[in-house]
Amino acid sequence: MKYKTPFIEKHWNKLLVLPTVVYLGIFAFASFGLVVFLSLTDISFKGEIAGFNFVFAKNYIKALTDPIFQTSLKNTAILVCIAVPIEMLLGLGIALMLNQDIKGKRFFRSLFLLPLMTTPIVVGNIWRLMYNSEFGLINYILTSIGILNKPIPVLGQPETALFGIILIDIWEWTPFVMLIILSGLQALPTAPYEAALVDGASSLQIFRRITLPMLTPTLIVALLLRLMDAIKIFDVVYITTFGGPGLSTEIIGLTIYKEAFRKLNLGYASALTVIVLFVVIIVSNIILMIINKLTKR
Amino acid sequence: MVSVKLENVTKKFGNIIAVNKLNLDIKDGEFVCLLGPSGCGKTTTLRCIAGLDNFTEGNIYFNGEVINHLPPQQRNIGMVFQFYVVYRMSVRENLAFPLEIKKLPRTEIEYKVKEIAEILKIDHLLDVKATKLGPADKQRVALGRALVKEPRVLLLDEPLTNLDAKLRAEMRIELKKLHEKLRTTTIYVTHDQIEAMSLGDRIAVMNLGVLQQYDTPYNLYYHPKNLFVASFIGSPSMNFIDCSLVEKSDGIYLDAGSFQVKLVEEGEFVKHNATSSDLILGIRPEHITLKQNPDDAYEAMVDLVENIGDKYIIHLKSGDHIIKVITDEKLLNPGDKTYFSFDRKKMHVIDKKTERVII
Repeated sequence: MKYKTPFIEKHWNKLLVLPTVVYLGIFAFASFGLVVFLSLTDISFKGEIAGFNFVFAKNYIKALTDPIFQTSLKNTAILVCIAVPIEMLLGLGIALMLNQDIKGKRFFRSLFLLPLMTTPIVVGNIWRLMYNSEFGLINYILTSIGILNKPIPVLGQPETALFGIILIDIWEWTPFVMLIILSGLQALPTAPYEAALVDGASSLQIFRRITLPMLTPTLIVALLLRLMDAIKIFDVVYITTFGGPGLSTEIIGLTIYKEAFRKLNLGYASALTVIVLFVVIIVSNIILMIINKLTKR
Repeated sequence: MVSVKLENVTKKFGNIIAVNKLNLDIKDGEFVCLLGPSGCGKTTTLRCIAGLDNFTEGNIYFNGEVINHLPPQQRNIGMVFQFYVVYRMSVRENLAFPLEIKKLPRTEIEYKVKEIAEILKIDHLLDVKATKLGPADKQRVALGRALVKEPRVLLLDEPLTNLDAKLRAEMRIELKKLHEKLRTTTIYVTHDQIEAMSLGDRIAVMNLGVLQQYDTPYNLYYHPKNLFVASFIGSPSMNFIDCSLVEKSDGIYLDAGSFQVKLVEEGEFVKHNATSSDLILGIRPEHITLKQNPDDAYEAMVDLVENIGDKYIIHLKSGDHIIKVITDEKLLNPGDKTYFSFDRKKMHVIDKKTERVII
C-alpha cells in the first residue's frame, strides 16, 4: 500500500496494538503501580495530603491483625462459597431446560434475563422492599401460607442478613451464568449427541459423557467470571445493609471503600486492595489447576 | 443382522415433502446405496431409519417387525456421519462406549474393542485421544464404534465425503472388504455415483424425494428406467438428442434433424409405447465410435476437445446438437469434419413427455 511510509510499514502491527497498550498502561498498570506504591505509605486525606511517610509493610501487617478485615474476608468467603456453586448449578439447569424444544422458549429466555438487565442499585432497592418485615412481599407470602409465625427482618438481624445478601446475589447473577452456558450449549455440534443416541446412550449418559466434557471450557469461563465478580461484590451490599447489622454483612469491597473514603486511610485501603488482588489470583489458579486435573483424568 | 423394509415412508417438513412414499426392500447382509443429488431426501431417509427423525407416514420394518415407535437407542443400529464424530476420549474409550452402555462385562468389552481395532487397523492408536487423529483415522474410529456392538443395520451417511480424493479411494476399498468380511446389512448414502456403483449390491436412485430406480449398478447403467437415472448415472453423462418419430415407406425412423436413425426390430415397439412422436435419443459418450468414412455413419463437425487425463472428450456438432464422444487418442482438432456411429443395442429412446425410457 502506497500511503504507508517505510517506518509505518515496518511497525504496522505494533501501531495497531498501540491504543490498547496505552489504555491498559494508564488504566491498569499505572494505576495498579500507584496502588502498590500508596500501600507502602501512610498517606491520608485527613490532614495535608502532601505529607506522607513510607511505612513499608506496616499496612500489610496491620491488615493481618485487623478484626474488621478478617470478618469481611470471612463473610466474603461464605458468600462466594455458597452463592457461586448455587448460581452455577441453577444456571446450568435453566440453560439445559431452555436448550430443549419447549413452548415459549423465547419468552422464558427473556424473562430469565430480566435480573441481569436491572441496575444493581435498583436490584438492591427492590430486594430491600421485598425483605421488609412490615410490608415486604416475601414476609407477607411466608406468613400468610403459615411457614412463618411472624415476619422476620431478614436484612435487619445479624443471623440472616448475609444469607439475604446471598439470595440477592443468586437472583441477580444466575441469569448471567445461564446465558454463558446456554450460548455454550447452542454452539455444541449436534452430531456427537445423535451419534450417542444411536450408540444407545440414555439422556443422562449423554449428558454426563458427551455434553458435559464438551461444555467444560464454557463452565470454567462462567465459574471464573462469577468467582472474581462475587469476591468484588459491593453495590448491592452498599444499598441494602452497608455491612450491618454490626459487621454481619461486612464484605471486602465495603471494607476497602470505608477505609478509603470514610476513614480516609488511603494507604491502608491500598494495601487491602493489593491483598484482595492476590487472593483472587491465587484462588482462580487453584480452581483452574483442580479443573485441569479433573478433566485430564 | 436383519432385512430392512420401507413401506410408503413419507417425511414432510411443513409443506415440503422431503421423502415421498418410499418403498425399499433391503435383504439381510445386502449393501444398498442411496444415491441422488443434494436435497433428494437420501439423508432424511437414513435418519428416519436411524430414528433420529420421525417420519410422517408409512412403516419401517426390521426383519418384518415394525420399528416406527422405537427410539434410536433401542434400534441397535450403527451409524457413521459425514462429519466424523468422535467423542472427546481415547480411541479405546470411544470404541468401548456403546458396549459400556450395554453393560457388558469388562473382559468382553476389552476383547471386542481389540478385535474391531485390529480389523480397522487402528489398534496402534488405542490410547491416543480420538479428537487428535487425522480425518481418515477419525472416520475409522467412528466406523469402529458403529460396528463394535454388532449392529443389526449399519447406516453410513456420506462417510467419505470429507476425505481427500486419495483417502476416499482407499477407504472405499476398505469398506468394501469390511462388508465382504462382516456381511452386516448396510445402507450407504452418497451423492458420488462412483462410490455407489463400486460399493452397492443395489442402488436406490432418488430425486426430489421420489425413488427413481432401485436396481443393480449394471442395470442402472445399461437399463435406466427414466431420463433422470439415464442422465445421473455415467460420467460424462449420456447424450440426449431431441428427435421425432417418422414413418417412411421403408420403415420407422428417429429424425434428429441433422441425421436419421432407422429403427429396425424396435420400431413397432417404440411407436406403440410412445405417447407422442416427440422422443429423445440417448446414447452414452463411450458407446459412440468415430469413423473416417461416411459408411453407415453420420457427419459431424468437431467443436471442442477436452483432455481428461488418459482420455479425450470430443464435442461434436451435428446440426443444433452437441454430442460428446470419448476417445483414447486425440486424432481430431476443432473444426475437423468427422463421422460417428453407435451401437443400436446400446441406444435408448426416451419419451419426451413422460421422461420414461422406452428402450
